[in-house]
Amino acid sequence: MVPLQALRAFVVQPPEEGFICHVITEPVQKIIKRIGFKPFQIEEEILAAKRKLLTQSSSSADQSKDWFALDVDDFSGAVKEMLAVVDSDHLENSKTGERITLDISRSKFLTAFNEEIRELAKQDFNKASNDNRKKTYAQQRRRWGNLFFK
Amino acid sequence: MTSPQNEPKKYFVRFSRAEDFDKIMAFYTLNAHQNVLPRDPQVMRDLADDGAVILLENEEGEFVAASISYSLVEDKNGLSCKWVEIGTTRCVLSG
Repeated sequence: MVPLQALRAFVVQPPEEGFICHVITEPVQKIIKRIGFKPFQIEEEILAAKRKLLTQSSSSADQSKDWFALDVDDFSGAVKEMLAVVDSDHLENSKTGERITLDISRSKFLTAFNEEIRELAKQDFNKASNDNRKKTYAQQRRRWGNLFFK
Repeated sequence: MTSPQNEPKKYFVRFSRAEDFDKIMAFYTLNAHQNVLPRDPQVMRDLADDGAVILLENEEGEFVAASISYSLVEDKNGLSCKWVEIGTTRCVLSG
C-alpha cells in the first residue's frame, strides 16, 4: 500500500523533497526498508506541519525518531516492488498460511495507467540525469509525463 | 481439486471517493491503534474526496486496510508541497 500511495502522489502532486513515513515497529520497518525507504532525521518544520493535522486527542508519543524517507533515486524500485505484489498469483502469510489475492479492477488509476506505471518501474532515475545534479520528484514526474503523454 | 476453503481470498485495492468518508472514519474508529494517530476529521474528509486514501476492501466492499497521503509543508497557495507523508496506515488482516 505504501508504494501505491507514493505512486499516486507522484502523478497527482509530486513533493519537492520526498515521501516520508513514521514507522515504530521493527517488522514494518523491515518491510519499508525493502521497498527502498531509508532512516530519515525528521525536521521540526515537518513535525509542526503534521501537528496541525492531528486531533487534540492524538497521542503525545515521541514523534522525533523512527522516520523513513524514500529518495527519488529509489522510487522506481519501489514501484517495481509494488508491481511484483500486484502481479503475484497470491500472497501468503508465512505464520498462518492464509492466502490472499489482490485485484486492481476497482481502481481507475491503476487500470487506466497500467502500461505507463509498468514503464515507470523500468526507469532508472539515478542514471537518467544528463548531469550530476540530483533531480527532484517534481522534475522526474515532468520528465515521465513528457515521455508518455504525447 | 481445490476446495473453496483453500482458495485465496480476493481483496480489491483502490483509491477513495467522497462517498467513502463515513466508512473510512468508521474503519479507523473501530480499529483504533495506539500507533495510528487520529487526524482532523475535516482533513480526512478533504483527502477522501481527493482520492488520497488508499483502501483495501473485500468483495462485499468492507474495508480491511487503509492508508492516507498527507501533503506537508505546503506553499501558501497549497499548489505544491515539500513532503508527502504516508501515514495513518492500518490493516486488520493478519501478517
